[in-house]
Amino acid sequence: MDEKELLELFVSRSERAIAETAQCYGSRCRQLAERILNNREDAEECLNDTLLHAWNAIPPEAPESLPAYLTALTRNIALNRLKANNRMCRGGGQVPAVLEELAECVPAADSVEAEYDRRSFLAAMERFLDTLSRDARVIFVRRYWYMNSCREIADAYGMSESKVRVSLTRTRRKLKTFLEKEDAI
Amino acid sequence: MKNTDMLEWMNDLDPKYLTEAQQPQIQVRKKPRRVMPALIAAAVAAVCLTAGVSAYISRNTQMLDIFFGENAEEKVTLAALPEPVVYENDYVRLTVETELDDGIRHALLLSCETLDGVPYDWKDRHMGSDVLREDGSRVFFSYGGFGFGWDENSTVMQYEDDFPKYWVYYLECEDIAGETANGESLYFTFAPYDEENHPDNMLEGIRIPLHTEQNVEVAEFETPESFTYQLSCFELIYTGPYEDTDAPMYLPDSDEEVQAKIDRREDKYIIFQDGTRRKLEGKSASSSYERDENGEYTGNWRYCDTEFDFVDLDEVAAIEICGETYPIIR
Repeated sequence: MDEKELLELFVSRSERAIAETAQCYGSRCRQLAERILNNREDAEECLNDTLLHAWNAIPPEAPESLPAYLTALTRNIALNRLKANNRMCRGGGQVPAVLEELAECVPAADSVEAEYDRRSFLAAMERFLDTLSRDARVIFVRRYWYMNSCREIADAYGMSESKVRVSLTRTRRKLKTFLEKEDAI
Repeated sequence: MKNTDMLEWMNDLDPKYLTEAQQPQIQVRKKPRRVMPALIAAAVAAVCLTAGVSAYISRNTQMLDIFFGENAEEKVTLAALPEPVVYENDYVRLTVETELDDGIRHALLLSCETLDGVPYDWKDRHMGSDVLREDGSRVFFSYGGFGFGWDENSTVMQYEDDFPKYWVYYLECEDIAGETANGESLYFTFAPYDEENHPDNMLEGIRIPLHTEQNVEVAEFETPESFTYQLSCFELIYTGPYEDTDAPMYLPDSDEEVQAKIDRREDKYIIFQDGTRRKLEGKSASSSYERDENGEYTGNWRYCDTEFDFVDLDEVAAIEICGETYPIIR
């Protein structure tokens, strides 16, 4: 079943929408949640929450890309769950490592902090992503959005883990410079 | 903004980025390569034209002093590479500026620039090294290294902690000789020294052959006894019966012997096709020898031209050693 047909099921309020969506995109969302939460049961619950949220939101919402919409929901729900459990900076998932890497791009906690709201940040981040090569952008999004490990990214694209790390290091360095120029940090 | 904010805020990224990152993609992995000879020639020409030969000489001379101590030129031959050799991978252009060898230590003088122009901090990355055999197995060598910069105006060499312009690795000649005794080839490679904290290796895949002397253009001369002299653009190598008095490392006991050695050392000329002669200003360099089954010593010694004034081998007709002339054989 393709994306369009799935959306039609949601719009027509057919309960098949949940089962078919789980069938098509459940695995992807579950894996993302598990990378964040590092717990299979929690990831399963997260997937259920995602599907429920989608069921309640569509319609009126009409996502342009259903898989992107679902993974964004999953990511948000998983991060909120992690935050609620106060486990953002610890635990065995990818989040602590990702946070540590992203810390290179932002100032230390006790430095003067620029007020930068979510919307301005997003706009800046998207401008930044547009400056990157496709390879560098995909690697960056895979790591910091999808929370893939470097090994997983390397395997997915047939490159060495070292190359992935090099790419990420250089992109973080560029991001820091970019955000400084934008007065974001 | 905190890193946790950044992580959460990214959730609302435009879906196009997320979709793009999910698409399968064919990645062609470029092999690191040695840049073509024409490019090397161009690079050499560029060095000569821009920095000037004298700057290059000066740079190497000071390099010798800082590396091998005072009067280094008397101890060291500028060994294997008369011109820079350039390697590239996806990230960097690495230049082997030269190699130095005093018979004890073999040193590689390197410079490196990133292809995107962002300076690369060698020291911060604690770039270590490995020596590999042809089959990729690792040879455990002791090695050291340091970075330094170069002020082209004052020609002063300085150690540099951050973003050094040049980097030196040195290895023990004895180790190299032991590993290559059976004709094995060795390669110098790079790896992060502290892989835990600095996992990225910008120099991934670059392999520098450790024995590059075969790349040097050489003119050969033969004595009636079939012993050979080889003249490269910067050094004279003798291979044959080994006499202490000829060997550069030999220290005579008496003043007379010292003078005799100096005389012999100075009695070496290159004879050009037009009949002109040029005295070899070489100082003692490296030597090695072994004793054969008859108890005779054979080995080699080297003299280098410390003026670093390249000889055009096409114009060489013969060499003259202690009054004997040996015509070029190839």
